Amino acid sequence: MIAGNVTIVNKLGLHARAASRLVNCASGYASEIRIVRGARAVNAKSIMGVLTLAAARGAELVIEVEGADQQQALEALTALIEGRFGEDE
Amino acid sequence: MSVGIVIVTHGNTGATLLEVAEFILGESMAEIGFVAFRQSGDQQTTIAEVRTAMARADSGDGVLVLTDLVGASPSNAVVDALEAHSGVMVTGLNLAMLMSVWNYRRQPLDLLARKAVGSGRRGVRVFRE
Repeated sequence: MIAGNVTIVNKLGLHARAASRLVNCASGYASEIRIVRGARAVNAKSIMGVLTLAAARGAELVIEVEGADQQQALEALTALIEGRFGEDE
Repeated sequence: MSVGIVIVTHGNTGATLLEVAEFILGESMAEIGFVAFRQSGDQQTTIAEVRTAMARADSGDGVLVLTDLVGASPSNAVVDALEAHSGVMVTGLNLAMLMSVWNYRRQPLDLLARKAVGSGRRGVRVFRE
């Protein structure tokens, strides 16, 4: 299992469409992927799981990945979040 | 395999939920059937429309019907329609339920119905400062 820290940087935070993009990205990998915020951990492939993190801008998350493609999955998810989900601000 | 999905609500509530879910998930949900219950309409007409929508949605893996309010006319029409076409109804439709059901539509019908209930409930939370 590998893990990485990432901070939500886009203005709107992990809103519904952003959560959908994250779930789509995560679902493209075979690995088990969990997103942890404080004491709460959710399945990154579940839209309702990701939404219930209620992660606004500045929220610090840990991405935990376990599986054959864990390195690629962690890099892709980190890039998506750090790239503001493709949003302008 | 893919379970057929039909939404039955008061007025255009269901159509609006579908429109928003399509926007959030970024994909068409055109294969989800929708029946609007109109107060001015006749209950038998609604029942017939639900049956037609269920038959159209069913590709052999069963049909899940989502309604907005338990005990109200749209739900009651579905209960009647279920006598003619087998399927499962889940009440209390919300956006959380709809998006999850869409994501898990390739799961077996009974499991999908449980997912619908679980996700719908997960979408209801209390927040305080």
